[in-house]
Order: sequence, then C-alpha cells, then structure tokens
Amino acid sequence: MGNSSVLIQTALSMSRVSDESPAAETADVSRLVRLTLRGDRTAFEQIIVRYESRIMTLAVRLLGRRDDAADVAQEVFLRAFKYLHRADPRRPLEPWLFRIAVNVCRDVMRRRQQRQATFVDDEAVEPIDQSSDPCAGLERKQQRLILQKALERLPEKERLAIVLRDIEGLSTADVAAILHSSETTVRSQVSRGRLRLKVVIGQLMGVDS
Amino acid sequence: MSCGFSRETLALHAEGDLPDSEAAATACHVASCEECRRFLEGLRVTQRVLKSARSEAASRSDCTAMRHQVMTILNERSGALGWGLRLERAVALGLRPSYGFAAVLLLGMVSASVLAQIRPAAYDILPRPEGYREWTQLPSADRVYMNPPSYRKYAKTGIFPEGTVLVWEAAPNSDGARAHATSSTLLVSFKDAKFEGGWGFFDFSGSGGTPLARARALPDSKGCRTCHRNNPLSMGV
Repeated sequence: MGNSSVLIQTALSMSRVSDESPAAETADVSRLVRLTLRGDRTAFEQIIVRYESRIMTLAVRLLGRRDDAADVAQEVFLRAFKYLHRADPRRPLEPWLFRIAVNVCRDVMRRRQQRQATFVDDEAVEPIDQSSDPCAGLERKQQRLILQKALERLPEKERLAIVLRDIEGLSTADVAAILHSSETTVRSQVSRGRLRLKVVIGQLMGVDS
Repeated sequence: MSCGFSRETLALHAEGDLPDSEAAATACHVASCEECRRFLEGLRVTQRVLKSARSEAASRSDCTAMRHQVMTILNERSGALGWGLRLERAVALGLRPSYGFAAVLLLGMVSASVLAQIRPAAYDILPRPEGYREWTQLPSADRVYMNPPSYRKYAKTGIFPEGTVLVWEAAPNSDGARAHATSSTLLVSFKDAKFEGGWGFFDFSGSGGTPLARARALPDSKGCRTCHRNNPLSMGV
C-alpha cells in the first residue's frame, strides 16, 4: 500500500486542473486505463483522482444537491470501471465519463420527478462549496443559489445543454456527442435555455428582463 | 419589443455560437438596432452569472469520501465481472482479431448447441392449462375449448395462430371418446412450429378420472399426428 499512496499523491498533485498538454494527458490516462484493465486497481484510483472533482461538480450543477452528486459520482466510477474497455484509448476519457454522468443524472432526475409526483419534495437546493471569506462569499453564495434555482426551472434537455456548454465550457460538438444529439439540436436547446435563463434570473434578481 | 430580429439568434451570438456569415449579419444588425443591443447586453449579464459558476468545484472532502467508497465497493466485488464482459475485455486487451473471432464463433456454436438441447425439453412438458373451461368453447359434440387470444385471430383469418391451445374433454360415448378409446379423456393440442407438422399433442388423462398436472408431448408412435392428418374432422389440427 506504500507504493499505492505514493502513486495517489503523485496523481493528486496532477489532479483538478492538469498542466499537461492534452496529448500527453490522453497518453497518460490511456496508460492508466491499460493498467486498470490488466487488474491494477491503484491505476483506476488514479483515474478517479483525476476526474472526481469534475464529475462531482457536474453532478451538483445538474442535480443541485451534494448528497445526490456523491451518489451519482460513485455510480459513474463504478460503471466506468465495469465498461472501461469500451472507452476509446485514442480520445480523452473525460467526455466519455461525462456521458456516463449525464445518463446517471437523467435517471436521478426521472426518479425525482416521479417522487415529486407522489410526495411534496421540500428539500432545499444546496450550494456547491463554501468560501473561506464570509463577506466576499455572501454575494457569491446568493448568486449561486439564484443560478441553481434558475437552472432547476429549465426543462431537462435545456438544462443539460446549458450546463455543459456554458458552465462546463465544452464545445457544441462535444456537448452533442455527450447528449447523443446533433449540433443543430444542441444549438437550439442552448439558445432557448439562454433566453429562458435571462428571464428567470432577471425575475429572481428583481431586474426587469 | 418592436424589433422582429430573432432572439434565438441573439442568444447564440452572445457566445459566438453562430457560423461566421450569420455572425457578421447579426453584428451588423445589432450595431444599428438599439433595442437588440440592449437585449444582447442583458444576455451577456446572464452569461456572466453562468460563467461565474465555472470557478466553483466540489469539495475535496466529498470527493475523497466518494473515492474511498468506490474503491471499497470494487475491492469487495473483486472478480464480479460477468463472462460476457470478461470476453469483451480480453478482446479489447489485444487478443488477435482472428483469435477473438474464433472465440466468439466457438461461443456461438456452443450456445446454439446447448440451446438446441434445452429448448425442446422445456417445450416437451406442458402444465395443464388453468381455467380452460372459461375459454372460448367451440361448437362440437365434445367440449372443446380454445384460448381466447388465439380464437380472436382464428375467427378473423380461419387459421390457427402460433400458440393456439385446444383443450378437448370427451363427452361420454361420443365419437371422439370412442376414437380415443377412453371415457375420461383430457387432451390438449398446442400449435408450435417446433413440433413436426406444427402441432404437439398432450394427454392429461390421469387414472381414476383425476387429470395430470403436467404431461409430456406424445411421441409419433402414438399415431396422433397421422390420424389427425387423415381425418377431415380434425380441421387441420
């Protein structure tokens, strides 16, 4: 386990925002994938370390709740481990993981809708993370809550397109691939979503839209 | 809003999502339209709120807890991948394509062979139809019942569809009872392409008048098939 903790520390130092070039990162992840497929679980743990923050953050943005997001991320990585051999080693792993995450989130949203149809769901929306500066954080926290509430008011497809395109900053082509859709459809969803958000955020901020 | 310029186009223009030609035309219009310019500025404010969320990330403690949970589950489930996934993995790990093809072919042949042995056995034994007296009764001297879904198709087409079940209860001293040399008969005909001639014949007549719970398809040596084929009263059953 000593060896594994060194590896994890190394991976941690490279995680979150990687300084590697995209090609070098893809090659490195590809190596980790090969090692995992040969039975090296430590290699898979390094893969998780690389992408856990992105997946958890995406899940919070799509679902609005940290506890749901942790469950989603757990399911994403368990599925990823099971089907890792299906990932294309020549392409970045992140869009593949995003695709799994979106599918898992859709399942959660559907279950939530069914539950809301039966019970009154009074769980509050939770912010993603905390700021160490309470004064500076107050405005940000309010803005975050407004954004989260506004996103929750969007239809599912528009919310997915907006989160992936405008918050995650992915290209329209990548969003289309993740959503199994065409670029034209994604553009249309993004456009409608932006217009709807403009109105909703304006209302929530008390600004005339 | 008096200007009829497309709001959807402006929403895409706000983030440079339009093709070059459309973007140039939109920019040109916005430059000359105060209303659209204000609308675009409003959109950009919303986009800034959206983008402000980019700097946020899930907390490290949440991520670490989740990762530990995943690794614990994986370690507990060690070796739990099914055979299908294992084979997929073996191919993905670099088995030569020809070996992979041979493995899939072999697996297919073995599966087909096993299925061929299993399937007839499963169909050869039939449980006694439940509640058949509630089924559609056909006009006959004996009591003949047919499962209603098949009867509905038969009434339209005049052809017995696959899955037809006919239950025949002999009336005492009827022609049918004499033909089958019994007075306590409960016979079932089951239409399935698996059987030669398309029909399987089952005899649920038990000793002492108690019908059997299950019956095996009667073998050809019993002569059911030949007799039915030559008897016009059997209506092709």
